[in-house]
Amino acid sequence: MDIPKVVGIVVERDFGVFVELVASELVSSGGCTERELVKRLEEKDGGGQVQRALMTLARNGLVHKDDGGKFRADVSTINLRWRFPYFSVMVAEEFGEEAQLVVELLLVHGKVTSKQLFTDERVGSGRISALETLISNRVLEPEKLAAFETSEHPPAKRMRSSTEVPKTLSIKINSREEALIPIPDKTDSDTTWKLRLSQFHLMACNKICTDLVRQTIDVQAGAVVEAVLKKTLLKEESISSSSFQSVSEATIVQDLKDSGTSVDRSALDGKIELMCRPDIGYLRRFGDQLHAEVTTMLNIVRRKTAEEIILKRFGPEARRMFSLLMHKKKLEAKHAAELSMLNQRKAREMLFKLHDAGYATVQEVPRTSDFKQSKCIYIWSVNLPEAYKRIAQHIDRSCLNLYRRLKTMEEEPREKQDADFRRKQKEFIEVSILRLQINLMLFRDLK
Amino acid sequence: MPPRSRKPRNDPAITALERGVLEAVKDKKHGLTDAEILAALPQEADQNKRAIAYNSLLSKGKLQLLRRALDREPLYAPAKAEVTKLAGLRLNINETALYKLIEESNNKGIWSRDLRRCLNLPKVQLEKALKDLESRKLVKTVKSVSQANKKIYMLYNIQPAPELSGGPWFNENHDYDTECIRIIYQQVTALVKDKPNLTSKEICEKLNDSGLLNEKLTNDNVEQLLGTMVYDSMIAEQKKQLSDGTTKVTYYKSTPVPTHNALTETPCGLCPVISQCRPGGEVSPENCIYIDQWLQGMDW
Repeated sequence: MDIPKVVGIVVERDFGVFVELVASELVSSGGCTERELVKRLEEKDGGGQVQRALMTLARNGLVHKDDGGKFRADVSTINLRWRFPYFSVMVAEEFGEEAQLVVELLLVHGKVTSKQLFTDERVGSGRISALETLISNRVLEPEKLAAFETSEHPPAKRMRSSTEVPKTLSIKINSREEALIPIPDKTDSDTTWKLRLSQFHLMACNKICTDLVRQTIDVQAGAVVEAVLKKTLLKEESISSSSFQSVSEATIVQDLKDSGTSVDRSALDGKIELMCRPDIGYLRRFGDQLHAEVTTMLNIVRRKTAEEIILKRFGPEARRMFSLLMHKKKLEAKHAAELSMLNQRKAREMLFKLHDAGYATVQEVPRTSDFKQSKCIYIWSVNLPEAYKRIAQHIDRSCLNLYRRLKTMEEEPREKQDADFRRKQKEFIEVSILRLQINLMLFRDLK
Repeated sequence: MPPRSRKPRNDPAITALERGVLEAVKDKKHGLTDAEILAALPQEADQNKRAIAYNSLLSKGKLQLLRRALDREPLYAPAKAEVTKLAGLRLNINETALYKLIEESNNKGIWSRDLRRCLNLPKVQLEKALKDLESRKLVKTVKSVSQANKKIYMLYNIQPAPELSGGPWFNENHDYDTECIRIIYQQVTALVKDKPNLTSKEICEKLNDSGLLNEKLTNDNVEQLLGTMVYDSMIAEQKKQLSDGTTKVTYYKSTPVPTHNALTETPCGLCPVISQCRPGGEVSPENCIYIDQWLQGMDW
């Protein structure tokens, strides 16, 4: 996949052509100083444009300066910008429209000071509670945490009234430490706020897992898993962290009651037992503590999505063969044909289709020392991480193609009579790109 | 030169002598010498007549010739049933050898190349003998599902083994009977929906009782079918470890998992020529006809 081109597209879309040139140069060169950039881009006004471009990128967290004075682009953060509309919608669903406005301000500007936050006319009167909500859910964080005190005192109570402005808000950093974050008032313009982009992935992960449980079991089971995930994910830095904390059943029941869900204890216990079953594996029980098996749930969704992609691309026989190889790990072609109830010719055809697409691998095992082909056994298997990587590459390619098509449509001469139709087509492509990016998140980022 | 004595056609003396010889050797599976048979016969019979009787009984397959290990003297013993049967079929030497080999292979059959290798017969003679046996409906040709090009011979009245015929899931053309399998899928889905957590044995019994198929299904047949249903996500399996160390596998109706598949909803996800797609190339996103069609038919 052509990473500089993908990076270039999203930076050009958000910041303009020159910033895109700078970002692409940084990605393709692996990092360079400002002077080198000026020289490479042959700027004539003494580096002013390059400096402004670098400041824009730095403010949005897309580049950083290393110890040697070289600027390096953060490709993964740049790619995250594809998903900003989705993040904005997630925040609106989770925390409300006021919080969405705050987040959108930060997505556009990268970092904002307290003064900018409170003086921006788009952010309404609910900004204090929105800010509090975003901070307590770790979506927002101050840029310099070291400037604040840490303490081992229990956390302060959350404010219920938006008219009261507390001086500090305590949030737990880990099991032992808390940070007392001062809530800024209008006079305090020093605090600079930025988004914790990794939190969006955690929120997306939460949503995927909750949807899975809701659809495969029921709404109440989904509410239980959502309650467990909310308690644990907020405390973790990433999904791959192995130190997910457990939550007691009593806490979950209390949370469900607080959220207004009616709780039938015996039915709830039955649902929890079902989810703790080894063949389901959504939750794990440690005494009265419950632990969400996020990796298991994500793997189930990833696997089923991969199967659906194969079904749509190659047909039901190919999906059956893929599923068989995932179950049985390693098989010869004739065994695969027998177990999948396909004739040998069809089975071989499906295996080679999967192999050409990169979803299946074949290993040659010689039976004689001369490696004679007629005496070799060919063993087929599926390497899931490799299959997911191929799918992610395919999605990247599709995104790039759709964006190129969008660019072509914008550059074409416009005819008045079909302006509305063209606008709809462009929106359709943009929505498709966003959906592809959400798909990509599942296969590449949520691990 | 004296004229050769011809075997009399309906000589009652020979027939009586044959009966006498058979009576003498009856239950003597190790055989008797000529002298012992003579002593056991109720009537005297000269050497010529005895020789004619022995030859007649040997050709009819009622007597078999053995040799005493000590002095290599011939012994006459009652023939085994299969020898009698073969003699009754009136086959020549090649045909008899072929028939014996084919009979030994039982319901698995024997490949024509293996027949030629074992008997070392020229191809023409082998084919003539096999053709003769086939025309007399003593043997038949069967095709294997796994190796359709091989000609496999077996006795006419034997049913081929499941490895050759493929089992209940195959039709006459040695291909999977997809229509029949689809009906069985629906039946199994209904069974596990009504009563979740059935074992393969229970499902097998219910399918056999339903009478959907002409032949009885075995547990192996049903497990093969259930496996494909699991791979197709029609049903799910649950494995439970029992107290005696065995694993109990039960099946239940699976619920669909919400997937996040946007790839195949775009034309690039299903494009057969995506590997050739390049900006400005013959196949390019700028002028792709698949994207054109997709945008024309866009569905919000």
